[in-house]
Amino acid sequence: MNIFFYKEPKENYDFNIGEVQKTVYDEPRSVISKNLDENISYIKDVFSVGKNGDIIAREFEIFVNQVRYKAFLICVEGLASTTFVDEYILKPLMLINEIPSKSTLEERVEKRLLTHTQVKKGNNLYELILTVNIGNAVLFVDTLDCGFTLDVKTWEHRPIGNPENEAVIQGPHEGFNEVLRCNTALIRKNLNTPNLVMENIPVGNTTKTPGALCYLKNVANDTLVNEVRRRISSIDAQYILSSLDVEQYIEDKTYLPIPQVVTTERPDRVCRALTEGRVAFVLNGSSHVLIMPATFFDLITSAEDEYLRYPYSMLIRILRYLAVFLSLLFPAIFASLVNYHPELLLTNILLTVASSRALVPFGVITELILMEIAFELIKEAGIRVPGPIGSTLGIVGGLIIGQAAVEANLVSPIMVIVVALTGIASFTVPSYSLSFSFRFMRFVYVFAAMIAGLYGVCALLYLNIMVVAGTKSFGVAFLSPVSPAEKANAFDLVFGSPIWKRGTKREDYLKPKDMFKKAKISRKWRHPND
Amino acid sequence: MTNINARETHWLFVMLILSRITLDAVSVFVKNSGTAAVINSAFGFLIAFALLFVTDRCFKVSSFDDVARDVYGKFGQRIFGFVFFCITLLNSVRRITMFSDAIGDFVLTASPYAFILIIFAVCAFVTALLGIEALVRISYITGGVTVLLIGIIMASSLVEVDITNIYPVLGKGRISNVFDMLYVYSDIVYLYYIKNSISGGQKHTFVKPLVKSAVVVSLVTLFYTLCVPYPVSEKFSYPIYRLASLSNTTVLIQRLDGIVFLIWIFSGFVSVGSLVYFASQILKDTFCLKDRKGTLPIIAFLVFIIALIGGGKWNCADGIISAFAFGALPATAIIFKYKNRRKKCKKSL
Repeated sequence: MNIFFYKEPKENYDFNIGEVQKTVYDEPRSVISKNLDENISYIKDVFSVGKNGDIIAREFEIFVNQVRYKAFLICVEGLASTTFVDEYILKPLMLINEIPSKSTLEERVEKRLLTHTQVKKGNNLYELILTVNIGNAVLFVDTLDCGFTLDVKTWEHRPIGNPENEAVIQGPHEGFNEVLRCNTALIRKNLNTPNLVMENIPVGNTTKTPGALCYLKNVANDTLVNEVRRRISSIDAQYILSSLDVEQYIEDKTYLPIPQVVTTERPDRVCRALTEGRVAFVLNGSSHVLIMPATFFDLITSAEDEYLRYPYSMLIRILRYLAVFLSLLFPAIFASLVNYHPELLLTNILLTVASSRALVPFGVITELILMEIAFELIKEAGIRVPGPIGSTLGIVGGLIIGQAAVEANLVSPIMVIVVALTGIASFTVPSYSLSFSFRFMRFVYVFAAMIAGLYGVCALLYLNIMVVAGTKSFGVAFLSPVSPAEKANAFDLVFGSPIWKRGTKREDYLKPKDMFKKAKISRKWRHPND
Repeated sequence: MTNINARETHWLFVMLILSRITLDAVSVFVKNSGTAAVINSAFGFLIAFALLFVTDRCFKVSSFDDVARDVYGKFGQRIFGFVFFCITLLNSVRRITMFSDAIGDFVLTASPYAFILIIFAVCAFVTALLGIEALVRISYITGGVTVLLIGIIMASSLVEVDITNIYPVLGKGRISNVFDMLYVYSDIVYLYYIKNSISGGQKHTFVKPLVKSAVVVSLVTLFYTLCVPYPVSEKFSYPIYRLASLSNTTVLIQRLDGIVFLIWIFSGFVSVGSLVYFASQILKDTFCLKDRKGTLPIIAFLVFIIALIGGGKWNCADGIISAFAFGALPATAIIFKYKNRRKKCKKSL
């Protein structure tokens, strides 16, 4: 019968994750045994050699002073260069049979047999073998209570390319990638000063992700550097994989919808920040560098502002402030005016608004919120889907659906203009994180407009400014240098000024060690007699 | 208490004084002195300056509580502090009532009074909660904007200026009640409460905020008397709103009434918030409480309830705070100085 009819299995296969014994973390072994076999068995156990397909564990013999010693080398395929390991480590060790001398085995191995540039000797077993995960090879020799770390890293990484989220038309097009030393080299190359300090700070108890704290030792305030160092090194988490994780661990106020650390992909921006006396943190595996402390005006300034001629950059800045205003308040003000205070609108505009909304079945607020949600959906979908489809989605979503919704009288044309203008304005905010904050706050403002019209919007704006004014990022007021007022740099920072005129003095609020960034007369050719 | 910037602190007091000018202060001057309102305001400034100068000299670096303790003893200091707290509470109620009335009359005409009041109370609570540092910063930001907006209103009403409106120069020919003249500046009394936390400006801290605000007060009064003829000018409760509604500038901006709304919002929230803050701080210092923030919900609720129930019954608050600032405080300061001098004499003997 089974040949003709399908028979349902009697029991369904049902998988559930079973209970297991909880992991008990043994104290990592630090002592290197003189008996190589003990070390080998421990290392094989730690790295699950046999199960792990990418671990290379090579046992071999070396001849020193006519004596045969057992040796063991471990590295990871893909992270370490096998050519390097073969040519410069295994070959000399296995093939060179030296003339006897008085030097010890340890000295012989380190100074004669390892023909590699970066060799480090270590006595902590666990610390040594951890370096295998970052592309090093580790060598142990029988009878020696030390090991040798050999830098043979060769992992694949993204080349230095354009900083995609901070693109500029004028100015450098270099962006950070995910390799720590590549990023630190970009900073050092640009700054070209021996005062630049790059302190190694590994983050994460398990990952020990390499990180570098960067500052100019002759400029940055010591208390600021200490505070940043303290916050980063006190992170007690097993896995830290990105600098954006670090940002969330070290920021002052988590629930405040405003970023309190500048994140950037641009080496030039980091260099400028360092010259002002700020501190930067670069983490391996992350193309975003953190700059601390951050102020509102740092987040609202684009890297390009520095490269444009003064009149253009000033205009762009004013335009950006207008965009911030529109992005945050325009929908809420529109809703307040139409709902609560139509008398404030000019008669012609009022009539236009009324006639365009005559056939729309929803109230202004409902219409506005629906449109804003639709816009956010299109925006989010446009980011997530691959490039060419993303732009198509924008066109379909924005133009076709928008047009259809207006023709179906579901939304008014004026509302489409309001939402589109707000959306365009929000794209001009240079900080991605800050634009998120505006996206979120825009809805809150619309709710305030719904509850109490302009009174509600103004009350919320007041509270918003109040909260921002009370916020600090690493001890610096978020609205510096406007409030607390700093006469010298406030205008320069808010509206910009000619390059020869600005930044004679560094920002007061950073309390740098060296106040002066350049001479008062920086265009000496204008004063030949001075 | 945290250290606050002197320049920003000045603006807090400018905002406190301007909050009165945006409401009814000018109309009080006009009711008292007619066309001589500007002389009235100028006299007010001079008397306030003189009294504050005396107070300032006596206070020097001593804190408000130290002076009260020295003069009235420990128990007396508590009573003095409690009275000051009650006056501040009353002042907050008066201010919140006036601003809510103004917004209810001109902006949210159809909304219930309690609704406007509750938003004010919430904002005041949050302001006080965030503390003096945030308060002085927002005052610095909004203070400049407020003065600028007042300047725009005055500039736009220039076309309505009629020099004959100021005649007779001496108005009704009499000077009003002294406390009526001074009450505009009475909020400066709170400066002595936070004087010790101001960094870089302990000496004569009152001068800058007083002079800055007096200039604005006198200018607004002058413009109002020049633009609106007496006795018509007596009839308007909100002179600055009247000035704004007079202006007809260009085709693009036909009305400036909206600006007054912004002025009310900024000065209203800052002033009510700071008064609630001062009330909580006074309570904390007087009764040696551990935490100021714990008292805030109660104070904000009290302000809301009293304002809701009492409504316009608290006009007396202006006179009381004025009497305290320019009567009780200078008197206390003088006694303090006299006592100190006697102590010094005894020591030298």
